[in-house]
Amino acid sequence: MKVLGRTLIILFAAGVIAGATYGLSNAGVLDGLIGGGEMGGERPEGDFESGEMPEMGEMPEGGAPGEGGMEGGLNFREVLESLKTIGIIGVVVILLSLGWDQVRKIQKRSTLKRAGAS
Amino acid sequence: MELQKKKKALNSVKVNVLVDSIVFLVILVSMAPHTTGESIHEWVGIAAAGTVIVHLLLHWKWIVGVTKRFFKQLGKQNGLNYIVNVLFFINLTVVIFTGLMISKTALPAIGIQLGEAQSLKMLHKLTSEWIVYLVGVHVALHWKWILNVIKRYLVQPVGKLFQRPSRGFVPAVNNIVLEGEK
Repeated sequence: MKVLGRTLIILFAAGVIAGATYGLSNAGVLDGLIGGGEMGGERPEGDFESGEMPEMGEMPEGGAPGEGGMEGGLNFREVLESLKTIGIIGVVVILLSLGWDQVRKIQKRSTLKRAGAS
Repeated sequence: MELQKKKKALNSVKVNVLVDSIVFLVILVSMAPHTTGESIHEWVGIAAAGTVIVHLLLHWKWIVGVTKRFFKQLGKQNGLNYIVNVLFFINLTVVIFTGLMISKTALPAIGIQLGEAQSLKMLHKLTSEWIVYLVGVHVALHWKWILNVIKRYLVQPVGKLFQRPSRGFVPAVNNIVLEGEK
């Protein structure tokens, strides 16, 4: 029962945030903030003439030029993109944990100095 | 009685480690839509909501305790932790909500078809980029705990596997050392 109540509280909080997001997007506030409206109106419809896009059969074997990678769709660039996420997280973790340690050392030193002075 | 308490605490640490690892993996997988494909990205994103709820339930006491103390007196690290966690929750909720709103495969598969708003797409992309940094800060703030857990549940058990089998006289030597220390 406790777990159910807590889950409902979490869902309620999430619902409030989701409702606010939906309300803001409906009111057009988000369009102004992130420029979504401009992008929505940029692409004209029906601009492509028939025959302009290559048919599947027309593609040369081995894919488009410069598309070298592993067969089966897993591209090296895509793997790099995934590693980038881990890399960013790692850098943030290292910088913050080192920074936090430095702050603690400085705080300790200053308290020791104060204690020594008094 | 104390042994039972210790066992319970140990189990809760193990559960926390398991759930936290799953949440981290789920977020990492959902951060790579180009690698996984759109369908998996959407379903894993929906699963992320569930794992985050479990994570919050497991840390409920901390959330309630810190919320109560927040406006009175709170340590610098706890305060920072709380603010980061609130921002993380808001950001994650926005990412999951906008993801559901622009879903192309997951929701249509269960018969729900929503409109496509460009602003929601942009917001989904923007907030999902912020998540990477917030995950980094969240992990950094719990770095010591993570290191301790890795040492306890990964390094030590693996180290024991490569240890030489102990012989009969070794405990006796240990006893002598301990007595000498006294």
